[in-house]
Amino acid sequence: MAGPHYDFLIKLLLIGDSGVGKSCLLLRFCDDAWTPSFITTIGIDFKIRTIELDGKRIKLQIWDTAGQERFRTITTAYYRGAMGILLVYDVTDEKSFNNIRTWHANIEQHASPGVNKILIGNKCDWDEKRVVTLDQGRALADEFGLRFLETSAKANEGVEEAFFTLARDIKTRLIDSQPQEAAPVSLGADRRGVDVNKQSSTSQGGCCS
Amino acid sequence: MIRKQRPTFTSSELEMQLQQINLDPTSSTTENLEALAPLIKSIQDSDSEQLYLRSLDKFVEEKEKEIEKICQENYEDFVSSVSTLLTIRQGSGHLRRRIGELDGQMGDVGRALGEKKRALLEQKKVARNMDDAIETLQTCLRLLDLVHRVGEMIREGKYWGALRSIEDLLHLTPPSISQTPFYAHILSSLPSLRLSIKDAVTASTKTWLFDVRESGAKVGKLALEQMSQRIKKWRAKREKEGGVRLARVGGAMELVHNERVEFDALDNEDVKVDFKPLYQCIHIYEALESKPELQRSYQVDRKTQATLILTSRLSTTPETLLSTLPLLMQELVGFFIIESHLLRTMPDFRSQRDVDELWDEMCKRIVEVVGQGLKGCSEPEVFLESKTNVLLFVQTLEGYDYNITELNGLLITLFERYSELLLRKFSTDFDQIVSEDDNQPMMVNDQEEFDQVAGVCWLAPGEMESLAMQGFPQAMPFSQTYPMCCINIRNFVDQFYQFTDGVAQQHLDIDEVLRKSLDGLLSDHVSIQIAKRLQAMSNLSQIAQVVINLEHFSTACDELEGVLMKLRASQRGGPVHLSSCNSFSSTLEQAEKRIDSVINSKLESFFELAEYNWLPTRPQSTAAEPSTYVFEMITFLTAYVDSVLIGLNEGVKTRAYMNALGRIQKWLMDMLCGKEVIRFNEMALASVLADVTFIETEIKRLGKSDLDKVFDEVKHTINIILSDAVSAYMEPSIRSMSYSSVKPIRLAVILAKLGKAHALGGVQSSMVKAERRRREADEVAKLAGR
Repeated sequence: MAGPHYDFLIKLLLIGDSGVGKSCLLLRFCDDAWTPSFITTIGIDFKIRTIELDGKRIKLQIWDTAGQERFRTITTAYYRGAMGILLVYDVTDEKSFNNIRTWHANIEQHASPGVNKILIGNKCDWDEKRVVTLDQGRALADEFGLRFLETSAKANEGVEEAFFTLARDIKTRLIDSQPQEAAPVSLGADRRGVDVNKQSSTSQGGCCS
Repeated sequence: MIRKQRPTFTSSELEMQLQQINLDPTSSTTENLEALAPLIKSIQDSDSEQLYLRSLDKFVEEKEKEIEKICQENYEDFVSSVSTLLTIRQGSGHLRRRIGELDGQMGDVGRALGEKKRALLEQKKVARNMDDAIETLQTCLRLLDLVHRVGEMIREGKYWGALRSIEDLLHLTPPSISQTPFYAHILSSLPSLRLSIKDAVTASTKTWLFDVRESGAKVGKLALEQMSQRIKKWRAKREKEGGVRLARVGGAMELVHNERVEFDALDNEDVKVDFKPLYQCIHIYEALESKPELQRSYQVDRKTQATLILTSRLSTTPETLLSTLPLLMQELVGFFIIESHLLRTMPDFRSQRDVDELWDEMCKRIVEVVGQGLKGCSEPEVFLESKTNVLLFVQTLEGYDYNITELNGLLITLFERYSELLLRKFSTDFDQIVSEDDNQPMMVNDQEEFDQVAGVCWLAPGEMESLAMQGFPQAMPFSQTYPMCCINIRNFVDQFYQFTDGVAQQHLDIDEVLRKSLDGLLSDHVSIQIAKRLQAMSNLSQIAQVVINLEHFSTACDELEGVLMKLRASQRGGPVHLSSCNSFSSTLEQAEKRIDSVINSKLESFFELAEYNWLPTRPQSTAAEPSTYVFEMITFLTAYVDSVLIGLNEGVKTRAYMNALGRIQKWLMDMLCGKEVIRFNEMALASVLADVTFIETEIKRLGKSDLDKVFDEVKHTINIILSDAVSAYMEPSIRSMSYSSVKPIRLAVILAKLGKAHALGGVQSSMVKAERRRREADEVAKLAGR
């Protein structure tokens, strides 16, 4: 191969309740598109976008997980390979906000230590339906020591910023701290991007807890 | 009186005999002689003639002596008688004088009397003349009265009586006045009398015509209602019995069924049309020998009426058509029922040609009115309702033997426009359904919803049963496109046949039109629309849903063919075949290709992440510990295919795997043989082989034997090199038996690249290895050249 067309590869992970807009954020960020229909993500999917950060081409492989409980086995396998995680809730859905605690606990349990995280309150354009205030979001982020942003995939607000912020944090943590990089390196807390428990991938209902 | 014993004749006997002979002095002597006969006979019988004669002489002697004696004794009486006679003579002289006087007097009186008698006779003559005059006058008066009565009869509407009276005037005239100027005058006035009868009867017919126009609408309404009852009854019977589904109203079977119902639209409890005025008029005109004139004027009047009925409706719009049409139909049906009745009852008066002329003209106008009314109309309901009206009209008048060809043409035109409209409407609906579907499984929340969905959808055998066993809420295998399209297909077929019901089927292959329309809808507005959406679809779960939907549509097509065959209006034709079946299969193929290309694009992303070190000193990966990208790729691929394509059948999944793995194998071979990587060593090839082995191990766990040989080329190619089997490969038998998947040209290129890698080594052993690989490459290349 003539060599990769990028300087760094960063793997990101989107988690959060079903329907909060993870796939929409991804679609907006990677394809600059939006669809009003709600299409449940089945299991796992990913998209790739290469961005430029401080003169470096950084390839972002962003894993989009299914929010539904039944896919938890598949999705949890992707925690360990992620360098950055976006915890997404829906500002119009209080339950999704409350569940952030659970999602955060999952990260603690399955992700690599030191993984960068950001709390995202999506659908911030939908004022009349909003039930979670900006302050509530910020308070929760502070509690966990997370970065925090409100976004709207529909109105394209804060989406770029969210991904860029997270990417920059990761770059700072992993790349800038290294003395020199001779070749493009895949950086990860774990060499193996996916941590698949082979038993649970075939058995049903093996959910994380 | 005859004495035989003692023939003696006394004087008394003789006297008595003589008295007998001269009994009647007035009688003639000859007759009295007859009395002598018996006497003489008795005398002769007793031979006493001498005796009798002597007795008789003696009797005469006695009598003469008696007379002598009388005359001697009575002369004084004679003298006195003479004097008396003288006196009488004197008296009679006197009387004669008196009589003379009296006669004179009588003569005088008689003359006066004669005068009077003459006068009397004169008077009597005058009186007789007067009687004659009176009689004549009375005759004339009677005539005048008759003439007067004619006038009265006209006023009373007794036209025939009036006419008869005129005939009476002509023929029953007493001879007494037939030569009079009076009579001549009467005669001269007859034509004008006849004319006034004609005028009056014409006027009454005009009134009748006007009334009939009023009652015609009612007649039509009743006739149409009756027909619609008949249709309903027939339809109910058809539905109940099924077997006669194809027999139409007005057909032989229906006519027999309807035989018992007798209904006369012109004479029933609601309306009774009295044709008497017209019949009377015809009768009168006939009598006046002016029938052709009446026929002409009647035809003109009816034409005017028909035109009047129609022209007032010419400016109909789609909005007003449905309120106009029923009334128009009622009036026209009434109009033509009356015409038919006249044609039947008065064939000498109405000719078929006249009625046909009216009918043809009216047919043209109806086509105009309906055409105008439906101009630019896009409401199928308006078409449907119009058709129902026209059809009922046609069916009603068909029974009165009117030629319905032109109106059938109208129905067919209506049908064509209606089906176009339906097509347009449903095209839009189908397009919308397909474009608005989110291609996510449809959720069914309770039994009721499930029943609704199961009620409209065509499902493969057993599918419904297995779905019914699951609880709620339940995700259907298909997305909402499918049930919605099924509903629409059913509606389309329903609405289509709703229109065709009753329309004369022999003119048009309605079933074929439906099949074509439906095929067009399903192909162009479902299948092709889905195919279009597919092109822009990158979400695999949506594409998978499309595949499932398409599989269901194929089932629906099969089922629909059966449904259409059962519903078909005519019994012609073999099995129905929908070409949209093929369209769905080709879209299904596209969907499967789309799955491949989406998976391929994901694989491309992984390929970009591959980071092979082409000149390692030891293999970088093993079958247990493959390259990161390979591990992630295969993990993702299996999760992706197994979870996202979960609803698809194994064949589709296997196909998807086959494509994906084939793509990986191709990419690996392309990478090894391509221009991007100039050289690599055996350790690098070992890494690639380890990755392949890992993939194969993973794939084996899927239990799909079809996928076993996908990596044969890359695996065997590398194996030949790593196991130093190039010389063995040169053996044709071994080559064909063990390495059939290896392409010599590619093997040669790889060998050449290995040679280049060794050439970099610089040391002697490397150069030997390089030389050997180059030689091997050349040899293998020769195989390729053959």
